[in-house]
Amino acid sequence: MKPLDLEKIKEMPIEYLAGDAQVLARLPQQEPWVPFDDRTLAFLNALSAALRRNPQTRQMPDAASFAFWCRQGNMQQLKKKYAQPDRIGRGITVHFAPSNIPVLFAFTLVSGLLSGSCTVVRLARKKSPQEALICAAIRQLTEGEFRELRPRIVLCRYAHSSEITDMLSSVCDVRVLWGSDESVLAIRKSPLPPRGVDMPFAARGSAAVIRAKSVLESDSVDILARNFYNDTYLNDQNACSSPVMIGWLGEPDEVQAAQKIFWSEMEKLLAARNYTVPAELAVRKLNAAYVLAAVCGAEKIIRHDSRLIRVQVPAFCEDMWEHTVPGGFFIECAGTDLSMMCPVLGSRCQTVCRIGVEAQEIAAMTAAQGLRGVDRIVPAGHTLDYALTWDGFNMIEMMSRKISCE
Amino acid sequence: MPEKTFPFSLTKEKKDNYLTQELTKLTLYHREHCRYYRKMTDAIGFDPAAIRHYADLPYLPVTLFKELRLSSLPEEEADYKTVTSSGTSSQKRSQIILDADTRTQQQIALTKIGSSFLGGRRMPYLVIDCPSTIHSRNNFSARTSGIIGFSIFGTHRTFALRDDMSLDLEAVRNFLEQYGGSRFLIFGFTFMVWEYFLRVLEKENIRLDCSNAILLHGGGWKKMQDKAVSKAEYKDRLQKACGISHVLEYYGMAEQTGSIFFECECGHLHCSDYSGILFRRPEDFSLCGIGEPGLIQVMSLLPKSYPGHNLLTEDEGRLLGVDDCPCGRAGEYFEVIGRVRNAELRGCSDTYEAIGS
Repeated sequence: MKPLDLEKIKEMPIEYLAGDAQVLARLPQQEPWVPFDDRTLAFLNALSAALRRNPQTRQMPDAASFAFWCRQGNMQQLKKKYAQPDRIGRGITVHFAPSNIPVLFAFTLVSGLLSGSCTVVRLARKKSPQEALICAAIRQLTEGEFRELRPRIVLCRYAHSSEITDMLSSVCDVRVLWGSDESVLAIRKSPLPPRGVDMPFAARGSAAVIRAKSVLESDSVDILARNFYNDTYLNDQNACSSPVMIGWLGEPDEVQAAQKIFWSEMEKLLAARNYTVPAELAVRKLNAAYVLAAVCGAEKIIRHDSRLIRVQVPAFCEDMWEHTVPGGFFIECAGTDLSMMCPVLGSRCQTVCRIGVEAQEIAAMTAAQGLRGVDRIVPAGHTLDYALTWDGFNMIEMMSRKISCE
Repeated sequence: MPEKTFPFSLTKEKKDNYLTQELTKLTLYHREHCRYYRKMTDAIGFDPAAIRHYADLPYLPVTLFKELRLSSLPEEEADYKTVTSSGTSSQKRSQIILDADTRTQQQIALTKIGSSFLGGRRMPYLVIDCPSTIHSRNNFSARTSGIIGFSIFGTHRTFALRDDMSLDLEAVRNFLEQYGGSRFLIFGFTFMVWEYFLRVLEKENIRLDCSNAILLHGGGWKKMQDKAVSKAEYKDRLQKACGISHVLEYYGMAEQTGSIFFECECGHLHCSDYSGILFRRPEDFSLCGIGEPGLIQVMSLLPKSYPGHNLLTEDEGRLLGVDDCPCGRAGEYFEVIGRVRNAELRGCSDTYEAIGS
């Protein structure tokens, strides 16, 4: 394939954190590799080692977990799960990273590389120390021992410019879009090549199902609370996969007793971690609770302090998704049957966090009831785990093609 | 010390009793007349028997009027107008339901409060805004109600701006020629005065003599905060550009009729007998002590047509004292620090980037 017009690209106001204008211009000339190519895995293992050697990484738990994720052992496991015969990367994938999970750009980059495709990531406007650390390690490796990877990776940043987005879109086989509905739609205005596809990860929300008995009978509610804290407060409950809608399964007295234990454990944890809520958000949370009471039938607003607001509803309804707020805001419903969750398991719902409930039970209900949501069911403590299957897409399959042999 | 006169006459104990009694009544009234309000106050477990002080009464976030149409008027009541708050810095606008009665009460309160600071005599009135601002009929903006509201202190109302927001120098010069020799009133939104009056005078090196003016301005420092202009600089540059030495700021919001707070001779904002003011800690909404910054909560006895009598704002301020301002007025005096900043959160949803930013 023909390279892009280098002179034109050079004139564009793009900042490169890995690769450069020339690498970008020549992307169409790179050969696709097979998924989980040995060269890719060797590079990722070296990246993992380099990051883990760096003492700075220890200061950043999210960068450390990325480093741990791309180590050889894990990649070999993923290879077993995702590699299929007769597959090859589609060619060029262009990823638009979200701004507030600093390391997500690195995960989405790796998913593109693992598919065998060349990968461009447009970084969010907001810089982070995690980003600086990871980009530096990638530069060092691709300019040294892993030169083969250099022509395949572009990490860049630019201020909003439809011209640049048009240019990137014009060469990509797969476009990966992370962000709010508005930003995803804005980027989708730039046309793709006739055979190009989009993999959009737009705004979603998540739920949790908790069996009251499992809390009452647990001898480690503190661990359960810590896991749930990691699912929610650790990211200010602002990740798509952090639960907001909480369904409690059990008889009313069981649920009440379980809620008391669970939330008072959470309060202890919030105090111990010194979690704080900015003033503007504190008001926003109160506002949302009142709106739910006024128009969605919420019966009780329980405000422990500004960190934890629970809004109790007699039944879930889909509209409630429009009135959620991050930073410790939960809409709770109680019942004896899992089907009470159905109204909030529409297309908006991504992850269901399960406590004391089998994944299969939830998956079976999703299929039996023909629900449009629920792409992922995970135990507490795992909602924020990165996975190569996301929002119902198998990312490796989406970014590679199958050579059908008959 | 001057005598405590209405509407700055109630000292702490009297005011506590009065507000507690009257605001409780209003709370019950709106629970009877506004379905949403009843549901909301039910949800927080409102119990009239548990009210010891007006601080115990439920308050609504002022932002709620951007999402809900809250009315305590009968459905068929046709005699009301909707005021939309300035909303210049956010996309959504507040809807405030006002009937004739609440409007009249508001006008009376404004007259009484304003006279305490501006004197009882009406003055020629120069408005730093454009005529079209007051011409929309049913859809009032905060600017509209400000201009019209403060008209009660003025005569010979003159607009300093054209509808395209350019300075109508001829109109201003004519006004000054006729009335500039004695006391007159200039009114405008803080940002408008800055951007379309002061900055134009400075840029085009226009000399005007406004040394006899009282400048009354308000309407939020949010836009000014963005420009990082301090109050001292604001006053200083006005003085240099056109000789204005008497600058009065006020604090108020379209969402709460009757609550307007003027700056006194000592530079303190004052709460009148019509209003209550509290400051709450963002972390748990408990009450702040004197001098401690917190979210401003405002209360007013006037709103009857809608449940806007007790509101938690997004503004930060602090109580400076009660009943003992050297200016002699009774009641709370305070300062506004500014609008709280938007929270920066971790997480991935809805944070990608504002389009076009």
